[in-house]
Amino acid sequence: MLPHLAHPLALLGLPPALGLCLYGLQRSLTEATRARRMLQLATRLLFILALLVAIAGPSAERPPIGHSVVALVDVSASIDEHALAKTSEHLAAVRAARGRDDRLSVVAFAGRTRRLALADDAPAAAPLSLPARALLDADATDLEGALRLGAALLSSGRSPHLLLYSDGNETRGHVTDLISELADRGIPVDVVAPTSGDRAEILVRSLKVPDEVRPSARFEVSAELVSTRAQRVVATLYRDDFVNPTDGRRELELPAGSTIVRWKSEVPDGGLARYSVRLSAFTDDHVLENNRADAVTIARGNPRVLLIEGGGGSPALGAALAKEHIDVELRGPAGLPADADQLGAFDLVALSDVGALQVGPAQSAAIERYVDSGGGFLFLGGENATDGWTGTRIEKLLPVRFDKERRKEEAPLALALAIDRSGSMEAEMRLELAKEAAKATAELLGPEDLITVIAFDSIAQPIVRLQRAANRLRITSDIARLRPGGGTAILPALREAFTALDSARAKIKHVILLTDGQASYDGIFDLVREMVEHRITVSAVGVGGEADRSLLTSIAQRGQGRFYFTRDADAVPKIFLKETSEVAKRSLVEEPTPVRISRAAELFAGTDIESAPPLRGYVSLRPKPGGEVLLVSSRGDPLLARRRDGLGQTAIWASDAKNRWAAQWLGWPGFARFFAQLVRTTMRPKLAGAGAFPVEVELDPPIARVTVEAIGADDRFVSGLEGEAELVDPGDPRAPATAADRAPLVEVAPGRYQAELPIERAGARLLRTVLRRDRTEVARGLRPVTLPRAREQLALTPDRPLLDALRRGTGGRLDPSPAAAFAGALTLHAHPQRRPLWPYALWTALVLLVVDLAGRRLPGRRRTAPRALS
Amino acid sequence: MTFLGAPLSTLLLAGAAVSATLLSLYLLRPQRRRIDVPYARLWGLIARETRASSIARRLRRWESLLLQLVIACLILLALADPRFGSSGARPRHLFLVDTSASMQARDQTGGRTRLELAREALERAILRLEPDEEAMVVGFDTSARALSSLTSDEAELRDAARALAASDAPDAIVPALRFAADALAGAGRSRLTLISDGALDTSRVAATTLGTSAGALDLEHVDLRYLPVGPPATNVGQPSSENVAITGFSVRRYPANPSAYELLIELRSDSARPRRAQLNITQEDEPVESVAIELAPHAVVQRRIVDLSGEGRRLEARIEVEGGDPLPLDDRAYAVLPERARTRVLLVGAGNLYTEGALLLDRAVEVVRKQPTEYATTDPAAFDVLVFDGFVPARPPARPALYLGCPPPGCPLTSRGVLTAPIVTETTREHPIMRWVALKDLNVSVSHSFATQPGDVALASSLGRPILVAGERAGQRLVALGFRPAGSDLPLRVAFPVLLVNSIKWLVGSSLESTSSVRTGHAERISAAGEALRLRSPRGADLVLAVREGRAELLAREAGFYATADELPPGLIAANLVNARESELGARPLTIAGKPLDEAPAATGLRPRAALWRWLTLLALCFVLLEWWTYHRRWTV
Repeated sequence: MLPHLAHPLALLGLPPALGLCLYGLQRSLTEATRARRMLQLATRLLFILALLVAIAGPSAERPPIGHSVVALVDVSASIDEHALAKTSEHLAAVRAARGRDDRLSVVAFAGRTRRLALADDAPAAAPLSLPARALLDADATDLEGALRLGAALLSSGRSPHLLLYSDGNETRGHVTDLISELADRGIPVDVVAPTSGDRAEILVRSLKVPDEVRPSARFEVSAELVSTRAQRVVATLYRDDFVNPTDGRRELELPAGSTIVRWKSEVPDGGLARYSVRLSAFTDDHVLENNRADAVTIARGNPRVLLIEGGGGSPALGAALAKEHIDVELRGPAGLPADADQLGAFDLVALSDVGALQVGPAQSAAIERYVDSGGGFLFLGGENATDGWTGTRIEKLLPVRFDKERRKEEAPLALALAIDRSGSMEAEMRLELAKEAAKATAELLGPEDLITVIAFDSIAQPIVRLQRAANRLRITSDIARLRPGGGTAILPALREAFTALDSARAKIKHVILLTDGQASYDGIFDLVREMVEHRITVSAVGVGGEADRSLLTSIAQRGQGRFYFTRDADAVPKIFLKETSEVAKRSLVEEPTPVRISRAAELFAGTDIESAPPLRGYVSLRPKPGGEVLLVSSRGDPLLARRRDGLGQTAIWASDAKNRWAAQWLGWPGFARFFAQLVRTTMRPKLAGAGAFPVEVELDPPIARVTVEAIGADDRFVSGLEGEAELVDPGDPRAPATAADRAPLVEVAPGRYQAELPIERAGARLLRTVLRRDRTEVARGLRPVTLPRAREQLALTPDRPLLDALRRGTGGRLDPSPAAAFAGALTLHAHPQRRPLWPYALWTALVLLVVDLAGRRLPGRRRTAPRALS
Repeated sequence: MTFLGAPLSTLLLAGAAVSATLLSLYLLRPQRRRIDVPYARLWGLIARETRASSIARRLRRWESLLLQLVIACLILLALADPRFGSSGARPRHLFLVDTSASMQARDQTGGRTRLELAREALERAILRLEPDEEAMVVGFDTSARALSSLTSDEAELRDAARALAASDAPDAIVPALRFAADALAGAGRSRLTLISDGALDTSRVAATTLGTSAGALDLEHVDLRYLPVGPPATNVGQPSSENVAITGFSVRRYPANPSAYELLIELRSDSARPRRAQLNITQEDEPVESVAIELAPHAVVQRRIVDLSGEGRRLEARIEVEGGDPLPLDDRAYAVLPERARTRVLLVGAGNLYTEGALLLDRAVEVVRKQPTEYATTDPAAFDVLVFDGFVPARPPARPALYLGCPPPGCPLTSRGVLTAPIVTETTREHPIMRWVALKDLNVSVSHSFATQPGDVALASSLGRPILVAGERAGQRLVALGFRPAGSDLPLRVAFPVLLVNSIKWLVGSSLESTSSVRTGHAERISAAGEALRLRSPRGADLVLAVREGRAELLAREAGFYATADELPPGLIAANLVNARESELGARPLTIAGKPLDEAPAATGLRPRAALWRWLTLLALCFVLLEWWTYHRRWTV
């Protein structure tokens, strides 16, 4: 093998040296013969070459002169004293077998590693003092770290070997990452798996509680107990440091092996519950630290319901839901948020006896978005909640329609719409909206109903003569001809309406007066009184700030109707519809009706719905296709219906939940449970505040990898979010995490966010995740994470497959005898020691110096002088 | 001064021998030249000349001897291998050299990389070691590895310096310091020199503590020095560089449409000025997108490409930054559109069109139907999942299985009794099997309910009694339904095919299914069969990974495509740096346990390890050449 040259360029000095020598020779004045001069040149060149070779720094690989063995001794908690004593014996024998040129180092390791002082000349019999386990973090095993250090401590120039005394139960690092690297470096790992004595050991391998539970709901807690021999033991389950109230202490006859023990428990209130199982009263055990395991669960707070009460009345529903552990926030219609995000704080939004006029367009849109994104929506009927909802966004969400077909036996309605067409009605398109309202009213009426439309300014003019509402086309086109005119005179309009309705054959006769201005009072009240006497009622609608509210209020009061006022002309169509429905009262059925099951559903479980008392009334509705009618009245009208909408669910209860129609229900024992279960089955499946995206945690001590899968409702990835994950102490979950326990969630793939958090200490923690978009929170998660207590102590048998993979992958041996540790062929280390050769070159040069001079000074044949003096 | 070469006695002996020999050779009377002269008159001239030059001639001989002696002395001195340093008890020295990806950066166009500067600094530092001082060279990225043993052999240390190579992985300074501390432990006073560009993950270092307690760094007796290379650290403001990097590049299959993919790419500018980059994305060298991107100072830009197709194909992204970029490594990124593995399903049952039809909905599923009587002769190992429709084998198979109806005996789950007309009251909606599955108001005639074990998940229960359970027995996943679908209206519901497809996906388990690339420096688990997985790295190195429980762990240190060596065509695994912190090339102030690190003193003054023998030899060579010239010109004899 050619030697290695550190500075091979030095050899380039030879040609110039040769040139100089030849030149010198050519100009030589010496009288030596040619042959002698050639000899001189040759020796001198050899001399120069030797010097140049020395400068080039030649070196040769030194063949291994012995073995270098690093013994790695696992002193972690999973190795018992017996096994450790056996290891010491084996190691002592290895030391005794060491040859003169062999080197031995010893490293003790657990979670940390430590090289032991071991003088080469120490007698083999000298005891090896292993460091205290606690100093090396005995609750962990870092096999990879130990092997890396062992490989670093091998002496160069010797045949390398690592001698591993371990059970292979690694808890940190990944030794499999290292196998190919060790193989590449030619470092075989011999494995000596410890033989533990027949020790008695009893331990809790795991304690499992659900990550999330409901308050007051019973759930199962299970623990896996392991015992190496049959023995008697008491296992006690603790909740928040007190014995589990219903089912805590168990006396068990454990067989050898694994046993599953189950308890029932419940968490009374929302919040965290810490569980632990502890073993006691055992007869024989080796390690005591593993006789306990901890876990934590989250009792999600009660479901939150926003109850919008429109008609006043008793708080019976709120109280009933509260009794069933549902938090109710009661508000009036004005308290209904117009922002879906604000609704997002609730699991269900309920409207109880709320009229259509009490809910604005923005609020309706918010509810629509809320349901679409998974929220629950419950509509409870009542006298205010009638046909005014027809055609609204809310009706579209519900499983029913409000435009109940009129039954034939009902009396027809005669309706007169008196619409102001004065010049001021041109403002804000009031007249156009009034026309739309009139058209919608005509469409709402049944075909047998009668309608007339009277337009008035200073005079009154019937635009639509009294006729059946079935003539919708004609009525609509007549209304469209309405044009603005001059002043405002109400009396002629009312008189015209009176004249038209008085002769009509209808059970209900009603006038709706719409105006935006002021008019003379003269004669109006007398006319209204006369109309009432003729069973004609009058309602008044004022639009715009200039409307004479005082006059209109009086008209409505005296006319036994209702007064409406709006500054917003957009509300006019809705007012007309509401008023028409109010007048017709067609959708209200006020007669006692029993409740009949149309379709069995889980929400009736335990309510004994068959025994429910009759209802006194309800809003008559028509089911929609796609809706699911669960309860019906004696007439077959839907009483309870539901449907899915977007990601959410909606339900409607056609009666009320107070003492008007459901008076008897309030005393019924199943009342609270029925409505609680209706709420629970309708509300969003995930509780408000729970993480919207699944969170996975992979425990790989000292790292916990957190992955949040953000996949939207449409199965597309939710990208571009930012947020963080943090581990907090369950004892004080509100305390902010330290910077070390917090890491940003980084989008590593579309919709996949990951963070790595340090987790070294065993025990239970809470993992909080938050994802935001533009600083607005999109998802929040809270879940328990439990690193098993004394994990190191849970493995009772060596990990043979891992040790085999390590041994085979590196070409090592299994359980070599102590004598074999320093036996076997000597192989070169990946970093072989090199022997410098330059001194040999210099010694050679020294010899050549003498030879060179001898060749010059020793006598020989002379030659004639090159030139003679003349 | 210390002499490491031949022992003094040997040298003295050799010196005496050589000197004596040289002297004796010079004492030999030189042969006179014979000169023929025609005229006697000239004798007089000759005689005068001889008299005049006799002193000079005598001197010439001694000058020649002196030259020879000087040469001999120089050679003997070189053989003594003198060093400037002094000998004595020395602290052990460990050089911890950063080889992470940022060390590939060139801070000046055409200049040297930071690693080359680090190597040079290390070689200088090695020369500054005392002659008998032991040292070790350790390189680190995400893990540390010794490149030399603890040795005073300069050649081995220099070899280790030459063996330093920058990896494509990020750094992990704390484990590296821990490794160094462990390697120096018990060595008394020792010295640790960190050679790095300072672009380190310092987030966890400042919080560490020193000492021997668990978790602390055992560096209390270590003289810790820092030898920075690259741009200086800044204590004020955000460290920045001119780097523009791809810090995210991945492709994922849509859950709802497994044949389409979404690509996410993230660019990040570390520069304090606006930058412009041309982004080119190719699929199997065919262009997918080419777009110019303006990056504001310190900006992060994300782009996504939706509805990509091309299962198993290679994707590559490359940016070309106007005005150049110090780190070319993070200007390229790689991905493989994840292939969807075919799932072989064995359906054992008397025949049920609903079940077969539902299984056929997933095109990645290959169904083989067998009658229960044929099951005994079928090898379950040939299938990924077994589906038992109304049939339960006497012994549970050693494969993942779905039981549609699981009565005892034979059922791996313990029955807690039979429920008549159960209604589903609780479901575990978060479980992947229950995604898009609604079992509300399901009508079932009779069903077994199961006793669950820890690890089991009750997917659906009737008043607390599980009737659909997912779990694991003997290392194999299983899903068991308590009733035959034919005895319910489940097959008529949309939930049925969804439940089957979800169950099979879950039973097969996830592997690289949704992963298009791995990150360098992170151990990633990949599916593999056999005992070892052979891979060829992007730079052509062969890797053999041990396989345990069907998984191998790949810790990629090179960015690019890893190819499986035993498959045809080779399976590909893409690896990328995609590490925003590593791409921030500015040096950060480095503090350990709250204290800033002292910089190593500048390398000035005498170098204790300087190989003087080489210079002495060179000097000897010069004298040899001089002597040759003077001899032949007869200035000396």
